[in-house]
Parts: sequence; C-alpha cells; structure tokens
Amino acid sequence: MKRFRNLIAAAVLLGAFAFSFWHVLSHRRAENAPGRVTIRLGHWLLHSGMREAFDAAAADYMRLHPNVVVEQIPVPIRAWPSWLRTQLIGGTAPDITGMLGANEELATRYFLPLSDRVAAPNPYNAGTPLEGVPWIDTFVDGLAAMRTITPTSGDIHGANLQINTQRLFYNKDLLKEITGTDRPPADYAALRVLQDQVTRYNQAHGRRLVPIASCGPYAQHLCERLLPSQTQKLAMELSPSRNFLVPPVEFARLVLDGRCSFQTTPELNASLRLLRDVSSLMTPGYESRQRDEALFDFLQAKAVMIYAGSWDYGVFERDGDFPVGIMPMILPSADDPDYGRFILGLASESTGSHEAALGIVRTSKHPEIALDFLHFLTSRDVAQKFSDLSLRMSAIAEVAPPASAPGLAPRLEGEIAGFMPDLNNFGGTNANMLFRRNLHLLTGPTGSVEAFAARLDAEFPRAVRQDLGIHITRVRRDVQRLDAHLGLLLTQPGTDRQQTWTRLMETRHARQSEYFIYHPLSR
Amino acid sequence: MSPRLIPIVLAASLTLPVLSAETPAPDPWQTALAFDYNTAAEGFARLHAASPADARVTVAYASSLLVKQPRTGDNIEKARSLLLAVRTSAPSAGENAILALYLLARIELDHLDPAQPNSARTRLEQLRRDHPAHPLADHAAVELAYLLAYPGTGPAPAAIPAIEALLASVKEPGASRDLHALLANFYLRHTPDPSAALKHLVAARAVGFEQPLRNADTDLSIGNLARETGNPTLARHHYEAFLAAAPRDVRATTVRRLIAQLDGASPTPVPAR
Repeated sequence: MKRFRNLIAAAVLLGAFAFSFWHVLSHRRAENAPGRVTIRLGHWLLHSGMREAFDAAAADYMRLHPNVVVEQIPVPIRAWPSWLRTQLIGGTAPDITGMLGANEELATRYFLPLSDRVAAPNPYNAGTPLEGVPWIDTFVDGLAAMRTITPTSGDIHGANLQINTQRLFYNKDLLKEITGTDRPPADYAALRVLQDQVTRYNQAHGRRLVPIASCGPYAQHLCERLLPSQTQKLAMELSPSRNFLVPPVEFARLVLDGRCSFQTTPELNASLRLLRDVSSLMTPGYESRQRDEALFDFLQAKAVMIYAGSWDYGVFERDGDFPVGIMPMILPSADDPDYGRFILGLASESTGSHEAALGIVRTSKHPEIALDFLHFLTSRDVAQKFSDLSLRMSAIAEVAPPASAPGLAPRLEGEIAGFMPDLNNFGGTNANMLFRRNLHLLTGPTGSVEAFAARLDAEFPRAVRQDLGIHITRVRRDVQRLDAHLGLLLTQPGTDRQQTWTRLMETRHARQSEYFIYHPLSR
Repeated sequence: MSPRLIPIVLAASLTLPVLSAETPAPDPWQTALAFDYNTAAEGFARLHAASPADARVTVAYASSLLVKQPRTGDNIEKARSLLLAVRTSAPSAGENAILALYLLARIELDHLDPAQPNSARTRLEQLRRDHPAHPLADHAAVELAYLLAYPGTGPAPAAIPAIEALLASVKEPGASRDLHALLANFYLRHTPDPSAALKHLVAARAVGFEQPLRNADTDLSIGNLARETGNPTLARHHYEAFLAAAPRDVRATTVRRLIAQLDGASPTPVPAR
C-alpha cells in the first residue's frame, strides 16, 4: 500500500514536470519559430477598455507585420510592485514593461535609454499632422514626466501612452430628480446648496443619498485640487526661488521656522475650513473606504456625484444605467465670502498627470521590434483608436479625447496651483499620518477647525522635523551617489563624457544646496 | 530508479539551462552607471587585483566602494586609501591624480562621519593652487564656496564677498554658473537684496543649465524678480523665454497674465494643442 502511494506521488510529480516541460518547450518553439518573433507587453492597466485597446492595437500591428506576435500580460495592480521587481531582477520581464513604480535605479538598470531615439520622428506618423515631428514633441508634455524619473542621467527610458485628469462625474437623472435640473452646480457655493437639497430629498423620500461618493484615495485627489486654491496667492509670495513653487521641503521649513501656522496663517486656516466643509459632502467614513466601494455607490445611484479619475470614465460609461455628466472640480469663486479672497482661479492642468508609461527592458531579445511597436502604439492614428476604445485621454498631441467625453480633456488655461497643508508623501510621512490621525477633530458634527489647528500646531513641527531629517538623509545619499558617478564617468574608457559629467556636477550642486539650506532645521 | 531519486533528478535537470547560459563578464563601468554597484565593485576589485598600478582602475574601484551596499565605514576608508595611493604613485599632474585629489576632498566632506572639512579645504586649495587650469580646480572653488556659505552653524551671509572673489577667479562655465546660482539663492534667502540675486540669476542663465527645463524655470525666476525690482523690459524678455520653452507648463497662464499686466494689454492666447 505504501509502495502504491509512493508510485502515485511519483506519477503525479512526473506528470506535472512533463506538462511544465512541454508547456515551456512549446512556448519557446512558438517564439523561436523560423522568421517569427514574439513581443510581450506587461502592464497593470486592467481598467475597463484597456486590455481591449491593447488587443486591438496588437491585432493591427500583427496585420502590418505578420511575422510578429504581440502578447499582452496584464497584472493586477496590487501584485504589480513585487511582480515588476521579480521579473526585472530575474531577467524575465516582458520586452515592453510598464514603468509604474520604477525609480531611477530600476529605470536605469533594467530599461533601455530612448534619449537618442526620441529625437527622430515616429515613422508611423507619416501622412498625419505629426509627420516629421520629433517623437518627443508628439507627446503633450514632451515626455517631461519621464525625464523626472532619472534626474542623474537625464535620459528618457520610456514613453507614456496616456494622461490622467480628475473630474466630478454626476448622475444626470438623479441630479434632475433632486434639483429639478440636470445642470451641475456652477461654483463651490452652489455645490454646498446641493448638500441641502440632497438632505431635503432624503428626508422626503426616506433615502440615504450623499452628494459625493468617496473613498480615502479619491478624497485625497479631491482635496489636492480644492485646498491649494487657498494657498495660490501665498505660493506666489513664499516661493523661495520666485518660481511660484513651494515644494514640501520648503513648507516644512516654513512650519519649523514658525512662519506658517494652522491657527494664525489665514490661508492655512482657510484650507482647514474648506477641508471640513467638503468632508461633509462626501460619504461618511470615506477615509477608510476603497475605490471599488466609491464606484459601486455611484453606479448604484447612492450618490449624485463622484470625484474620480479619467481612468474610471469607462466603468461609468459601460456599467452605469444613467447618463453621466462630466465637470472639473469647482472652486469657490473670487467673491465667495469665506474662501474667495485667497483664490487666483481654477488651476491649470495643461500637462495632466502621466499614465501608462512603458519602457523596453534591456533583456529584450528584440529591442528594435519592441521599439517599433512602441512607435506604433504612440502614433497619432493608433493613439486615437486606443483612446476611443479605452475611453481615456491620450498623451499624444493631435489626438482628440473620446467622443463621448470631451470633458476629460485637461484644462489648458488656469492659474498656478497652491500647495497642500498635509505634507503627503514627504519624508517618512510622519507629519501626514499625524494630519490624518487627527482628522476626527476636524470633521463630523462635533469637529472644529480650532481644535484641529491647535492640535496640528502643537504636534506637527515635531513630526515635520523627523520627516525633514529623512528627506535630508535621502538628499545626502544622492550627493554621495553623484560623487561616485563622477569618479566612474571620468575614468570610463572610450567615449567623450564632457557633457555628461558637467550635467552631473550641476545636479550635485543643486542637491548640495538643498542639503545645506534644509539640514540645519532637521536637527 | 528509486522513486526517491526522481525529485533529485528533476531538480538537477532544472539547473541545465543555467549551466548552459553564457555569462560574459560585464563592463564594470557600465554596470556601476546602471546602479548595480555591488557587481561593479566586484568587477573593479578583480581589475585592480590584476593591475594594482593602474590609476584609472584604482579611482574607479574607489568610486564604486563609495556606493557599494551595505554602505560601511570600512568601504569608505578603503576608497580613501586607494585614492591616497593614487596620489602617491601616479604622476601628480595626471588626470587620475587630480580626480583622486578632488574625490578625497568630497569624501572628507560628505562621506566620512564625522566630516573633515579642514582637511577637505586643504585639498581643495591644493587643487586650485597646483592645477589652476584644470576644470576640477574651478569646481573645487564651488566646494570652497559652500564651505564659506554654510560653515556648519547655518548660513553665513558675511561670506558673500569671499564667494564673489572665488567666482571672479573661475573660468569653467559650469562652475561659474553654479557659483552664480549659489549666490542668487543666498541673496534671496538670507539678505533683503533681490536685485543682487537677480544679477547672479541672469549671469547663471547666460551660461545655461543642462538639466531639463531648468533654463525655463530660471527664466521664470528672473521674470518675477525683474518685475519685483521694477525692470519690466527684463521681466518681459524672460517671461517670454519661459513661455517659449514651456508653453504647456501649468504656470504659463499666470505668466501670460503677468505679461499683460506689464503693459496693460490683453493676455496672449494659449497655443493650440
């Protein structure tokens, strides 16, 4: 009996091994069939319409190039970070791999530089208005976002297919039922009136509708659009380089220097009041909710609106059984008695935020064909079809937004943005966690701006100092790394390194300045 | 074959592709510049062991040790010893000896804990004195300027004349530009003199930056400072340069509005997408 059990185990093991062996072998045979090339594309973009758009682009490409097979490998976003690292380190990453989460080290080490390639025109733009235009200039942001990944080398290692915007999407039927019109609120004061209308409607109909369906991440997006309206003028005043920017590290300095206080700096205090105000429009307990719950509420008509990304529009269009309106987040108007005096106007979103960044891995056996497919994907006509199928905004100039959603297009006109008061993603995020942990003092029926501001002024500086210390440690590591790269560049045999090393020195001097300016405050 | 041996045979068979793979030794410079510092350091160690008198390899090996992970005091000390060896064995006017001298000062400033600013200053001054025509001598002036501006107890505005004297002695454009930028920043943050900052920013911009979009950003700073200090012609010139270089920047509309305010005209339209 024991021998029989052992035999079964051995048979199962052998069977599994044989199947795996056959699978790998047949896969390789298909890949290595004479004259046939397989290009794999790995990405995390599982949103509605994206896989279909990739399939359609791949099918079009394969019709043009019958010897090439394009396969996509979609990976759930939650598994993406570990999958990406494992594949890159193991040398098994798809020829074209998504760059979500790729920092300078990963980008430089595992992705081919495309800097020389982006200066030449995209051959697939022949016969379009983009014919002859350098590939880099066919992207609405000139691939500026891709450059920021690799400040040391300044090389470009990928191209982004899309840009994201965020919008208030509204249920036209529900809005009309509640307000008598499907015209959305024109300004922030009108949005506040909608809250009263929803409350009255709920009382009359025994419903529990909310004005805006929300969750933790989407509330953060909304606040990042709304709250900086209160610091637009302050940013012009406080920008240390007079370039209208107050980076988080500078805000940290202003807090530690006592020049910014939540209780006494009117703009920051107004930001908190606005945060309390807008919180009452969103689903109770939104901080602990996730995206799917917010989307479900909106699709189930439990909320009049949702503040979501352009990436969600496809879900609303395909799964919602009501007409969806699209509008930008509305700000208080300049004559708003509570919030108007600090406002310059709705901020520009002229470059959007980059999305669907793809690069070619160094281990690709067919980098030229992968590049050709990347050219194809980012050519005007293919990008237009991709945009129409995925219902998302293309990053390619001359490509119109999806026909059903012109409202997704970024606002080209708009003032500078102010800055957020919560130091999100700065240093070790100690200050941000403190901010979030104490939100209960601000929101809800018993919340108060005074209590929240007092708590922040008492405890924020200590957390900010910790974060600044972490930030400065990172800056110093950058400086040290750049020193090493200088020694390596100037001893590297062969090529002329003149321009590269001077750029490296410039980068290092900028980082050294940052270190010297902010280091004393981190102690 | 005993069934017990099957897993072992199967596991062994899985190693065959690994054994058959070709593993050419990678170029350690390429490896290091692609951020794979530990592999690079091993490669340089082998090269150094094979040719210990090769100053170029020794400097590269020392450089890789500065970033080899985990970062240890022993590695930093070893890097320093290697560079000191280059200083004693290689011709002092050679490129590698000059680079070693500069890197020794950098190690003493930002890699050793605690830093040794006095020793670093001596090396930087030696570099400027012994090799005045070398570009790294001018970059040594930038390091000396940082030592003067931030002596350890916070910013020292009294050092401005000394830094300006250093600037006057520098010829390498990048070093000159970065000294101008340092001074502009210093004036803006630590003195009530935006016009002095403006003068240095204009000079830095005239040399030009290599980092993407930094020229445009500097144009915007110059435009704002010129407006602030009552020079609308200069402000317009640099605002327009900013718009030409970054027409889709999120600050472009605000800049167009400011240009319009300079002469009371209506704003210029946003370029079509």
